[in-house]
Amino acid sequence: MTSSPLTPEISLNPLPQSDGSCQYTCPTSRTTILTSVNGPLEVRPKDELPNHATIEVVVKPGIGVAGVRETRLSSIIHSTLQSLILTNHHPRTLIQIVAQIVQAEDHTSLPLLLTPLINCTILSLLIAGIPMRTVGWSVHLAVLQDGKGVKSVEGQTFGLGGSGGGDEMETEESEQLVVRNPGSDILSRAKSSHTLTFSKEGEILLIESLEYSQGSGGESADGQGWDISDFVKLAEEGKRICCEEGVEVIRAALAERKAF
Amino acid sequence: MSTLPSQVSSGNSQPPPLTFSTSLFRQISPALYLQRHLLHSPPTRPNGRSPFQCRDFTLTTNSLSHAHGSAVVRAGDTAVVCGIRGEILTVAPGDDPSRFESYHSSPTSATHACGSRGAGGASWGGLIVPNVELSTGCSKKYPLGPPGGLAQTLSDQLHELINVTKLVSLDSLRIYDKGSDLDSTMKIKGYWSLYVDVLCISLDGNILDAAWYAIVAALKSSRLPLACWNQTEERIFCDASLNHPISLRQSLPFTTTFALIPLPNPEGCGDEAAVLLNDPDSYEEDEACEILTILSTTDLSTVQGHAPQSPSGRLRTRVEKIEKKGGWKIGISHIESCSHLAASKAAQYIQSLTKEQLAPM
Amino acid sequence: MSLEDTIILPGDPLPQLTPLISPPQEDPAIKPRALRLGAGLTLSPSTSSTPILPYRYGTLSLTTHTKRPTASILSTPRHYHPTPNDPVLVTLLRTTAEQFIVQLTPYTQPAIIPFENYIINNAGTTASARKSRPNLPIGATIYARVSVVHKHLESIELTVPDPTYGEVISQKNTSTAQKTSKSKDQSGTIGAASVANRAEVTPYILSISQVMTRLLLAEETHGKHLLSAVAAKVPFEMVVGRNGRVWIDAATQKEVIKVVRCFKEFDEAEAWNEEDGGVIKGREIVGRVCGR
Repeated sequence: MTSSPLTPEISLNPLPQSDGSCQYTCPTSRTTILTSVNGPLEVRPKDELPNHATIEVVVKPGIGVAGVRETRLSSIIHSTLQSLILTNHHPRTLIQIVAQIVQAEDHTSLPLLLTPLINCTILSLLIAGIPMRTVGWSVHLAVLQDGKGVKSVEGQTFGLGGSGGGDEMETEESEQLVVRNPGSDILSRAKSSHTLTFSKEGEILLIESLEYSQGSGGESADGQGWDISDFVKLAEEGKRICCEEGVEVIRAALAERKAF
Repeated sequence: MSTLPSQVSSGNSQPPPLTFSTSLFRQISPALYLQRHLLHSPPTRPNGRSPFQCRDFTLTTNSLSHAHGSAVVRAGDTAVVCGIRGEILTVAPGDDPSRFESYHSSPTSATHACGSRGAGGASWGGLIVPNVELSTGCSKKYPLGPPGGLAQTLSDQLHELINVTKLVSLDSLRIYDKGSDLDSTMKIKGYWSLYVDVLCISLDGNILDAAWYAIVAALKSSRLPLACWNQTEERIFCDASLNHPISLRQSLPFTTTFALIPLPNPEGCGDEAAVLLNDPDSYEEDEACEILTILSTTDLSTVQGHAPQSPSGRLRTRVEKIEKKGGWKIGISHIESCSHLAASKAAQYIQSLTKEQLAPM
Repeated sequence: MSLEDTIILPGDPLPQLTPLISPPQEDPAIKPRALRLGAGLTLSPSTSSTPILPYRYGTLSLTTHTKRPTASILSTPRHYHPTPNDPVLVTLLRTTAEQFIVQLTPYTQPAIIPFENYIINNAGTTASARKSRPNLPIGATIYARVSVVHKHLESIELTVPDPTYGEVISQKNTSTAQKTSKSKDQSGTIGAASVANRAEVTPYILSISQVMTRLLLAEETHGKHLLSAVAAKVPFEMVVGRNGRVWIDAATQKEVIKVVRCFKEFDEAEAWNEEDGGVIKGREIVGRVCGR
């Protein structure tokens, strides 16, 4: 596999007992997720659906016990997977997905966790042979207002410019800087954070975009946010990353496994 | 319920061999029932609205006497009460005030990370703590018991909305030592921490919009007692006769939720059609495959200057949050057009809020 | 073949199948042959480009030379998913008035073999099937074929269509018990005369991975090298079920263990991942286990 600084570290089937499992480490933020997929299994009568498989997503936190944030994460992943898994192939069964956050810079930050969680889950679903309509890939983009201070921070980690294996550093019209899969230090300086998930065909599966600037609130927050046309540009870029690079990562990871 | 039986019978070109009453059809085949309505021209929803029409809503503020601020919002059959209660948080001499003031959780502090994952959402990292309770019997789907997935997700979403919008000016929550001549951070002796409790009395879809509107209205109408530091007693005293409002942003952001209903394509194969519904009720939410929520602000001057009623007139809007879950049929062009609809919805909210504020309390 | 090297992801278009779905219409004499969709492929009317949608990842396998062209996605999930016509090795759990209840895998619900599906001596009707049904002991190993898998049915139905299937019993009277991947043709006849000293040797049922199963069953894979390498040292009998079970028998108990160890070690080492497909590794294992 080509090892560019942006290629995530993927280890397939680290768990010997589950149907499909995957460990995924985000190349830049070092968030590590371990997921396991089992299914189709017998379903509890309470959750049984007559024509579809029940999907269960459990997110286990890296520290502490599962709380409101984990419930929210699993509900987001659940709704994303619902549109990917062909649930009508295994009616009255259970497809169980357990995701464990192994390492994260900030265990409470939804944007930092969501992208690795989704990518890792999709890979383990593939390994487990769960029927899927298509595959998707997720990318986290942070928009920074001024790139001056960040450029030096970024320069230490990745090369500038989009060519080769360097990090994406696009300069938009208003000199905004887009950082792909940022770590928490970059994210804390970001203006907005966008978690975008696209299917291989370019359909939007998930958008979690939010204003992320710091401030003391009140009137100082007036005029924050972004124009919808800026978002459209960003979404196009996210689509390119997911549909081209993301799908390549999946293919490369799976090509290492021989199938007969 | 405003079900119109006449629409169903005219929806079919051929008379069905087996006829059901409208209410039975509605119960046994919700997807088909909804599709028949939406395939009409013009498309009409079972509740009589057009796809982009939202429900009329009513707002009453400060109806709860014991809370510092409250609001009751009713949109269709969704009714939500929001109460704001302020509590004083004393800053101990060694505490770092910046810990209380961060709108986004500070990533370096490990204690913070632990603190903000409290069971009920109570965190000492955030001064504003929302909690959602779905009252027993508010909907058939949510039985008695501990807060389920929906209530927990909603609490977290509202917490995120407060952080994203930075709605409340933190300055208005600080309690200063007025007499001393220390620098500003040292003068902070305490904070108002706001408990924002949302109780859903009746749930008929789109609770997020209603809950958020109730929170904004309740915060806007709340009056906290005037608290100040008494140097001789070294305690914070409140003056019940005086009060001060919580200062909010000028441009208030509001959420607008859309649900996407898949429609069978009359031509057979090819891309399947779908209809976006503004402000879905729970019957529509059950059938929706995709939910889109847009948080946006509307330029107030534009609203007052132009004809605010016309939704076609494109209002100046800034989007602060987009959330799209499930499904794969919403395209970028949909999101663009929805953001304009969200802007006009936000304008409606602002109008009704100003009207309510002007009314004598 | 480049066709077999490319990884197909769920939702990928399959232009390779287009000529099979809509054959050229110039010659009306050629009747379009129906394409059979195997595992991993489904019909999806919503995608207009190709109506056939792969739903698992793997490589595309296309069989066009047979009567009915078949396309399927070859993948190796960890667990066995039953597909029709799979040869399987099952264990009899109990017998009811109508059918045998058998275990396919430990993690799936019991499968059934109705008596009328258990055709040993061409008894066709239900009544005669019930009368002439073999009296199998509980725990017997049956070589059967998957006949009906339906997502809405609770249990999987198996069939024993002809005397090559049935209870697996050793045939040590056939002196050249050397087996290749076509093991099913030579083994598993019911009521074969037990040879002397039968009680001294117990056949072994080995559980192997899905990749290994495919390796042993497929005609043109490296599994052939392993089979012939083992058979050169020790003559043995084997029956391979798609559900990851292999029945192994040999002349002496010691030899059974030797053969079992060869296959087990090859499987555990995942030797097929080697550059040469495990040919050298296989020889090495056989040499170590069976002696030079």
